[in-house]
Amino acid sequence: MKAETLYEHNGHQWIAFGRDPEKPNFVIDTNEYMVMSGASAMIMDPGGVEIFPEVITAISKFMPVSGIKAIFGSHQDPDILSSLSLWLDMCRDAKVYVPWVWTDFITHFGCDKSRMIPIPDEGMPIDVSPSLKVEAIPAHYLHSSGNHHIYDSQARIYFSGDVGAALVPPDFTGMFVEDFDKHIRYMEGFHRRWMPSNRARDVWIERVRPLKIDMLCPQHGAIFTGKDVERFLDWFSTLELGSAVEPKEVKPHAA
Amino acid sequence: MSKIAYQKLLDEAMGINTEIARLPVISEDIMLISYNAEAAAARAGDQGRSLHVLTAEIHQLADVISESVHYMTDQVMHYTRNMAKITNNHNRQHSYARARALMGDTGEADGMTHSLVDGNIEVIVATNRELLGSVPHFLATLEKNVEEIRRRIKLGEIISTNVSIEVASMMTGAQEVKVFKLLAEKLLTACKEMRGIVELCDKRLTNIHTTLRTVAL
Repeated sequence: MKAETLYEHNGHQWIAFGRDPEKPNFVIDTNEYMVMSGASAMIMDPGGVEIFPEVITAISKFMPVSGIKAIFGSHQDPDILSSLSLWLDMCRDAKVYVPWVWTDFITHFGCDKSRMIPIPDEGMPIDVSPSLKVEAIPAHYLHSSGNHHIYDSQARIYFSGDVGAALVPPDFTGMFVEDFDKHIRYMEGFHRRWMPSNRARDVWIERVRPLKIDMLCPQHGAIFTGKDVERFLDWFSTLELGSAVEPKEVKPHAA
Repeated sequence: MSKIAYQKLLDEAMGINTEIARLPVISEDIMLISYNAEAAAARAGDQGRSLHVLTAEIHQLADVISESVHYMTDQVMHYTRNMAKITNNHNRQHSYARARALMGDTGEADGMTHSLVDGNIEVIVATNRELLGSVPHFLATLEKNVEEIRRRIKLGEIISTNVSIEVASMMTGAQEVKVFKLLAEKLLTACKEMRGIVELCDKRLTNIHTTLRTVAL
């Protein structure tokens, strides 16, 4: 599994994990992220049970997993959190931050509810360490009905969950978007199908545009850097969401 | 123990569950037979007096079978839940073991993470050992219940025969005789059906024993 340091300053670090050549091909490709500050860390969307061994091994090269004090789940999907119970047995002090609407659903992954901190709809600050606070930013209906992202204003990194996600081919080995125009083909179908609400998108863009973002880090696909962040927001703002399938044209099997 | 063995233990228990799920319908049928027999005995007047006793026995038979089924269902449910836990733990153990192997290969993970993974594997192995330790008790209880049902089936068959004998000596009208004969036949059919179910449960219990013996070797 590849590990890419995105930011490093005075013990404050962002690392992206992904593009594992050993990943079984029956599971969707995912990126996992960790933000570290001193001896504490938070992992974001740590992934499914199938890739847990690879992810924990990759993370443990950077710090002892006992240092992971927070696990953030952007939403409830299995590729985000089905490994949760394995993580909680490893990170005994870690709290799980998830959108409040999903807490009773996520417990089905085998997680003690007392370790969960429900994130309210409006978002909340999360302490990664005494010297680092990040922000859970609301992104409801993008795609999940209860959905948050993470913004680190010091590192100017925005973890965007499924927003900006791309279904890249197996030979796509880079961690970053190198040619935005070419990259559109990998993300257009995903956003049309998985993102249901133009209105939610507009609100989110309005919320995010004023933020200073050097990197926009999705859970699938490649990371947007520099001007590509703005390009992505422009492209996303005009896309017709929820349009991959025309509901009227879908004939039920029984019909 | 291999994943296949765990799966086999779980599958057999679920199979028993499916089999015994058919029993409540039969015990309800027997209960219905007892109500009809009661009504027919009342219609037969004095001559039906001896049938009242047999009717009460049929009623009791239905009650006892229903109670045993209830108890068995709880037992199997408990066992199935344990086997599901064991299978899940086994998968977790597999994940940790794979992580440990990967960490061992790279040699870059810290000792604390290594020992946490090892500790979790130890806890899982101990938990599974304890859960598996409860299997013989479950088997013994279930076998006792199956035996109880088998005894009740035998009793049902005897009652059915007794009803036929009583009816043969009855001087009452042809209609009552016909009803009692039919009820005796129905009771016998219900007993036969239950016998089939019990045999299937027996087979599955034997399979569980065999799987446990195989993995113990």
